[in-house]
Amino acid sequence: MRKGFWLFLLVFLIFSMIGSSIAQTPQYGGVLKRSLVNDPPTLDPAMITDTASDEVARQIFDGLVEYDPNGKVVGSIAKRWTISKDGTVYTFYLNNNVYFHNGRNVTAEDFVYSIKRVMDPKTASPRASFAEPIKDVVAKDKYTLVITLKRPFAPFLSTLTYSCFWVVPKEEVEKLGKDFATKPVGTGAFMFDEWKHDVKIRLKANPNYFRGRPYVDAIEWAIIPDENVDFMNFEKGQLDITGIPDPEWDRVSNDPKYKPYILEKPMIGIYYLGFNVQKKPFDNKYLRQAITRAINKEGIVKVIRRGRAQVAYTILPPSMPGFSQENYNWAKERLSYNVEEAKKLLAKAGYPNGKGLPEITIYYNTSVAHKRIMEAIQADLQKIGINAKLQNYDWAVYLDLLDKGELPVYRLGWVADYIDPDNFLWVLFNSSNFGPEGNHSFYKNPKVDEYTNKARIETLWSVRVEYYNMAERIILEDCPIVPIYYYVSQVIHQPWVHGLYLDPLTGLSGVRYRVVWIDKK
Amino acid sequence: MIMETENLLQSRKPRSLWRIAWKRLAKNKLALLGLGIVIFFVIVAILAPYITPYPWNEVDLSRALQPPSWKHLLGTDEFGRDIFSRIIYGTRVSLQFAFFAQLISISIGTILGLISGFYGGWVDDLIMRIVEILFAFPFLLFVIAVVSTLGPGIQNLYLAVALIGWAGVSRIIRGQVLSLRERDFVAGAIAIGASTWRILFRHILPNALSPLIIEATLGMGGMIMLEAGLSFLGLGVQAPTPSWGSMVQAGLAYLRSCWWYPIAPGVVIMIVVFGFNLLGDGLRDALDPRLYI
Repeated sequence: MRKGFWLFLLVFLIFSMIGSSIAQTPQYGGVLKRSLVNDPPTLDPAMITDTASDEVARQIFDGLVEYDPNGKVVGSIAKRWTISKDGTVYTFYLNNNVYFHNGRNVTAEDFVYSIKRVMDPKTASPRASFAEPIKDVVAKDKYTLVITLKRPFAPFLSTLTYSCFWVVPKEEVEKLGKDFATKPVGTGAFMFDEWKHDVKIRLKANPNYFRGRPYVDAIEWAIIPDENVDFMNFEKGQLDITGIPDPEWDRVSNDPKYKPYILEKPMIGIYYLGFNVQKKPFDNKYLRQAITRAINKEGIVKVIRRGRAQVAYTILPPSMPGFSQENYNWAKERLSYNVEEAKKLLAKAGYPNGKGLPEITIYYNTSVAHKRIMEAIQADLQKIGINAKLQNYDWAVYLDLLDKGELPVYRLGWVADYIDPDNFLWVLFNSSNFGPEGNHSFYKNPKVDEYTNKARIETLWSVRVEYYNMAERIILEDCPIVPIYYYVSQVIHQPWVHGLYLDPLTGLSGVRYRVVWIDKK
Repeated sequence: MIMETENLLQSRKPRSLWRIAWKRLAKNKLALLGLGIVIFFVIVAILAPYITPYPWNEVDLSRALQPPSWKHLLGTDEFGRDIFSRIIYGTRVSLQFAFFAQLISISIGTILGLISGFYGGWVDDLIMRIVEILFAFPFLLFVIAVVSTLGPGIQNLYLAVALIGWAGVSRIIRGQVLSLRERDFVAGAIAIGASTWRILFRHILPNALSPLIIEATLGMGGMIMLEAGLSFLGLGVQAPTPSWGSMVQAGLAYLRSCWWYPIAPGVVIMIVVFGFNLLGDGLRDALDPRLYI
């Protein structure tokens, strides 16, 4: 009897150990279920500007280099690279075992084609400016790519991680034409499978992926615009990974059932209210300053966002290299919430107590989360005598109107495409980037242009930071945008999801799901 | 004998249609309950600015999402606004929309129904074919399409109702006119040379009022639901103006943590629509000509 008991205990322990080691060993199979708030406008890397498109396309395509989960640039298709001493010649040595989903081997010529495609005005890539520093790109041999720059450009390697530099197959792009945006062919761990617009997107595992096939068989993104419906689906187990709506945050984050499965990481990004400074009456700096001082950002973050973000005063988030504490303190002192000061500025703008100012319209893309914030801003503006109404559009329409400069006051978020202040201060505020290139405020200040241009070609980091700090101070004073908060990514996953991490730049939308596995089929 | 009979007839009080109807309505307890609800909410709507404990748009983030208390009878919303005050003010918004939307659709429907029924022929054919086409459209989808095209907001909602809401009324009125125009008093009016408009509005319309009143009352509930539904979808009344529908929509996100927030406006919508429906049903019974003695 005693012998039997010990035997049972031994068998039990062995099985427990096997069981726990199975749980910890990555498993293949299963379908990973995600969701998106809106249908991605495009899956063509040359045309991507938004996080929804980026999240899906990131699984389908690869570039020369990419960020690792710690924000360090590491090789992807390029196994190594060299940079000339003057910083103008980049030589990339490519892996020779990378294949497009159509079975063709990827060569340096494919990168020549892909990069030149972005540079070609006929492509009309909204991110063509990212390729502006490039003088020439040539294939030295089958697997060696040489990129020559017009001048040294410090963040160049970082910019190469961005979607517009991902490699695309010429034959498919030419065969499919505009349809390439909806039936993409890349080199990534997942291949395009199905897209039912506004319903779902499905990618399937690429068995021939050069870094080994991904763990899951497929990824499915359901398009769920309503955050509550989205979270309900998660709670029912129909989604594996998702965000948590603000109204649910207190409950979920305190629930022991969910707490171990919440991931949190500050993103390099800001949520802001922007003005088209070329449209009346927002060409008036004092009016913009009045609005800036009228917005209770602390209240929005603490109450509406349930403390899930960090109040923003500067353009550069604290996690971005080059962030200036001095500018932060300056802006906090002079541009923070103060109704009396806001009223004075409004009077200085020529609209004492809002008299003479027509009703303004604040635009936002359709989302209850944005609506809540816009309503709070609307109420804040009412307090200083500014009547505002709200108007929303679906994401694709909204982006289009924004690019055309048709939205005088708009909400937007900006998350880093690459880790360099250039991505915020040059892209968003240099006058060479009006509209789709990033400067949706159509803001032009010769000093800002000068500083941000100089910082691009300067190689000494300390000098660059100085330029950026000076440019940021001017922008903050001009108020083409009102920074509301710095993003913090908070996501929740099911217990059966393993290997998930958050991208330091964009949080969940920057994740490459090839490393994620699930132990529920 | 004859004299006596005449005296007897003269001594009897005339029993008008309305008096009979009111007596019948007064006997119907459910209808009286409906009438009471409607009168209550109409008074609330009229006195809204005087009876709200807080301004409907007073934002105070420091008191956001508070549970019901003596200070805030139905708690506060995510902006710290008093839900009770917003519901009271929302009564004004909802009833005002329902009243004017009904006024528009009944006015258009009545005129077209009178013309259609009285003139007959190709005019009748034309109007009735349009009515049939409009009936083929799902009402809510049509309104959503109009509002989506022209932009959300109460004005465009009125426009959508004006475009399609009259169809049902015009068909009812036409039916009434078809039977009334054969009656002797109409023939008499024509014989003495009364103008068409006089015949329509002085002789026919007053006799077709009963179904119109029933339709107007029952339709009020429908219009309230329409406004609430479209505001729920973000196509109706725009923020920050309080509307019951948009309050339910905003509160839905907080259903698990502050259940009273979406439930309160939802219950109010239910009560008001219930009130109008009870009253409408009561009026239908009270004004039913088949029951006249």
